[in-house]
Amino acid sequence: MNRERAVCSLKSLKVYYMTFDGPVKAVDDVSFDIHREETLGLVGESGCGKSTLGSAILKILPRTARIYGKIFLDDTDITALDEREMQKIRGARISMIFQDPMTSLNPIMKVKDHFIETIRTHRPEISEEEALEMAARALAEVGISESRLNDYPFQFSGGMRQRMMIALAIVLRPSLIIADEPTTSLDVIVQAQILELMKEIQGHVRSAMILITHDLGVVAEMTNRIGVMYAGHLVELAPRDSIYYDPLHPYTKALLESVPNTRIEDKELKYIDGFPPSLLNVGEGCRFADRCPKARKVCFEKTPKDLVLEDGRLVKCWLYESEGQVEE
Amino acid sequence: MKDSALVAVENLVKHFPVRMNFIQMLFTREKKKVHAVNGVSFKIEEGQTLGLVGESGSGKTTTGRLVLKLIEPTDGRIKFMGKDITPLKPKEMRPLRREMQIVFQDPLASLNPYMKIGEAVRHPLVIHKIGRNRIQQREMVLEMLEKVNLRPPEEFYNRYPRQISGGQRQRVVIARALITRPKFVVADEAVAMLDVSIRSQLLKLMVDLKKEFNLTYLFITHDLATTKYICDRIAVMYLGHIVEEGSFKDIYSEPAHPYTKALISAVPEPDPKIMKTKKKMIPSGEVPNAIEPPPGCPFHPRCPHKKAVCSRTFPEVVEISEGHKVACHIYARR
Repeated sequence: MNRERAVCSLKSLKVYYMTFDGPVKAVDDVSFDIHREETLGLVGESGCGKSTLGSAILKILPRTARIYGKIFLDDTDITALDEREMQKIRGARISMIFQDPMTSLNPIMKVKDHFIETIRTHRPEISEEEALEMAARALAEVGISESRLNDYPFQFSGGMRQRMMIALAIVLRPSLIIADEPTTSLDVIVQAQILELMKEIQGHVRSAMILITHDLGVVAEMTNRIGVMYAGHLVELAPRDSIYYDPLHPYTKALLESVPNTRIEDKELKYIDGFPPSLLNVGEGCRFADRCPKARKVCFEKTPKDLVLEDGRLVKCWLYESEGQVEE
Repeated sequence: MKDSALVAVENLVKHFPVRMNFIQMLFTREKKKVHAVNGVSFKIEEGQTLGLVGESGSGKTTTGRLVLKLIEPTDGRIKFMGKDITPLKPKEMRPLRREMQIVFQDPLASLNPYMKIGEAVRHPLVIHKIGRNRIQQREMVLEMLEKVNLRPPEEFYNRYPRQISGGQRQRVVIARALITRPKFVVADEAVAMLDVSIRSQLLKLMVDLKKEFNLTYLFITHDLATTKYICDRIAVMYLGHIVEEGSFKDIYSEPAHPYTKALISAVPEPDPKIMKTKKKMIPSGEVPNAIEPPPGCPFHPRCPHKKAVCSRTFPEVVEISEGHKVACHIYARR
């Protein structure tokens, strides 16, 4: 395990969306650390809370959301910061790459203006000329020519726009990058190009990255550790290869089996019966219990604790109660 | 041409005019066209499934619509059950519609939000005048809902699309497509929007229903991995052309066309060991514009094996092993 101080750590983070019918517990009691130069993959299906979690770290959630627990960035608890202080952090110390670059770029602002705005908001001492130079360098890093600084976002193709988003995200050398489904709207070949680029960039920016995706193929290549989320819970967190070759949580196992693979021998398709529970007013108990082949009585009655096993892996399941320590 | 094929298309072409404003029209002599489909031919035998794989803009969806004559082809022929349906007018197509159905990607967009699920599924029976009366039609709907695992069917009959989950909605759409007992179904990215665990359930259902009703599918997808479970043959499309066709094994373990090779090497596998050893052949750049597609082979500007001839003529289709066809100059007969 990495003993270095974490770039970002979540301590029993909860995000509830308040509705007239009660709270929707989108993220419930999630804790983990992320270190420099590390890529943490967060995988799960729609509605498991992975995007909410990413947005919570930047505090860009809708007004109905309530955040409980703590998020430490270096040593500051950012849940306590107000909006003005958060703005100093966004884009400078934490930046985000979204799924759809077209909706996250301003269509009537030239590429160079996006860069100038980002740079000068955080570092007013930098002159416009210097900012343009920084922008040109960041674009070169992602393989876009400097001449395109004068273009508008819609003049770029989907893949090029995503490259531009990445350049914009790294221009101030943040310590944490959150990439929320960065390649989901792209075709496979463009996706492969962008993933290759992201790996390369992270190699020399040396930041920490949280890669949020539903695609178990994407995280297989890109990450060091993987966290699996289900219905608001982080059910398993382990080094990448352990997740793929020695999954512990029944959900992780079932999920891996139901992913279509390309091995020719495997003709039979497995699937998980049923569907995820509603998170509105969800009570005690393991949220996977309904669909779990190994569910016992206790699973329906009490939410399992985050168990830390000997090798440092985390699993949230009653099956491993005797083997692990409860995390404080 | 053999007539055993349920569906056969020959040299299908579809060009869409590019919309221009008045001023542009004054100054342009030649009308610009999007070359969506550029001479596609394939056959699907009864009871077989053909997978149509390609990236966005490759023309796979347009091909699917052309086969059903939801849009008129610019050129080429479509044969259905041995009969040339190309010249048929929409009205003449009507009786054939109960034999051919389509399932779209987004079930919410293809269901009327104000119509109960049961009524939506019953609708095709009303249109095609199947069943003696309402009661009998209702029985048929309930039976169909049961077949797609919406249980208890009586309960689902009276619900609205908003009240059920995405996976269940897609089951409703499938039930509606199959209620007229069609022979041929086009599934256009039918499982693309669903989550992994739900997607596998739906794929399994489609395979089971195919056996039960002896269906023939045209399975359109951008996801190569899903084709393995459902397709007998796969055709790979690039910029309006089928560049390679064969079994899953042909395409996946012995891809011949440089584009297919690139496509396969780009698929992210849920297995870190494979990802580490996999040889990547990612072409640079992006798919060219379909308004002015490159002359000759559409892939030549990005192809690592480009020869002089590639930019001049479209390669002829060569059968390199039984049933494995490829359109590439590398394999051209001397």
